[in-house]
Amino acid sequence: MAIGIAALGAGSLTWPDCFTGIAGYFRLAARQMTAAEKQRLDVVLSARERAEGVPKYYGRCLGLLTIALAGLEFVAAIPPVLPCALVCLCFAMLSLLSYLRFRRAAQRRTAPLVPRTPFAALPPVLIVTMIGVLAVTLVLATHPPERLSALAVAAATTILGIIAWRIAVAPALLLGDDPAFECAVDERIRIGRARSTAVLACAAPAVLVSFAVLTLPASYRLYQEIAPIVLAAAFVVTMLFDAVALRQRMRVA
Amino acid sequence: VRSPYLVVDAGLELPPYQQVVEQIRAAIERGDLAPGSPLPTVRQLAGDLGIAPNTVARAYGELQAEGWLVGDGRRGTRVAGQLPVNRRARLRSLREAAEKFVVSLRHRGFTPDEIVSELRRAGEQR
Repeated sequence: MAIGIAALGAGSLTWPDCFTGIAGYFRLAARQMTAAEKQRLDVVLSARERAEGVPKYYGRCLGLLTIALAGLEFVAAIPPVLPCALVCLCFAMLSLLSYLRFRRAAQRRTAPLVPRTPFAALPPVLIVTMIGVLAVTLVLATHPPERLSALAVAAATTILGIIAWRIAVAPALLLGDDPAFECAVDERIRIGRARSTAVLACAAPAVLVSFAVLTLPASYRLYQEIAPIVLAAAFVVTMLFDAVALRQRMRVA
Repeated sequence: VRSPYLVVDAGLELPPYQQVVEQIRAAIERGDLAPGSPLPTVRQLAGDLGIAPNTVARAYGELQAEGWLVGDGRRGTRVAGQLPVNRRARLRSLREAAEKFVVSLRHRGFTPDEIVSELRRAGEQR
């Protein structure tokens, strides 16, 4: 576990914008684009990255923090699930931060004149899944040795769920140079970020429960049998929704 | 019908609510927003444009008062089915028909007073 988190930290140090950048959401979609569309995409993504402008040192700080947490876990100073929950939380905070920076950066703003629903980015199935994951995690808090870890992970999942929702309802961020394409890019980034955050919200509880069920007493037999399956299924569902969104063709009005 | 967009430029002299009014009206007149099309909620549009919700609410209110938009209760705001531009067109066609009718009656020797009094009597009878 510590090695995995340390590797994540090293990745964030080496490529500081690999977890906060937006180009990753378009790699698959770009393969289906014509040369002209790719050129438009490059222009729109560059302008957006300039406007969001999350500095690279944020990614590096996150990398250092992640490695430090992995080190703490390695010397067994903290429960193994806490670094995982904290790292998930930090990555999601960076996603939200880029939206906040953009809102302050742009003086002239463009808006599409069509209604938008947050459920396009965060379908009700994902919301129900996150609530279910939270409930399963809170059951673990009834077992005193796991109470602190369970409450910390439940808090992280709740915050991640709120961040995912905030991203889903966040305003459209269009600069107005190529509004049709910017709108399609914005929709894809919103969906990608909201669903990735939902994946992170389900990741920490899955890790916690997979470790905790090994040490639970016999009175938790039913929980030991069901909880890992439920959490694994929840993780797979959120991953599938995220993967499907990234594979979809971009729709430009 | 292509998707319309609104731009609000804080650097312009025109107040933001007026910019919203003008652009929505123009989008309807161009046909970019078809009659019955749903519009974003006040909150969504204000967030997207980075302006106060009251500004968008004022713009929507003015467009509703002019007959361009209709409030549709919980379903939000929509482009009116019967647009002001159509009302103007109806009035113009009525005027044209009335003028032709009056000219034909004048050719048959009726005076304007006779025509007006007869039209008034016919209208009152109905």
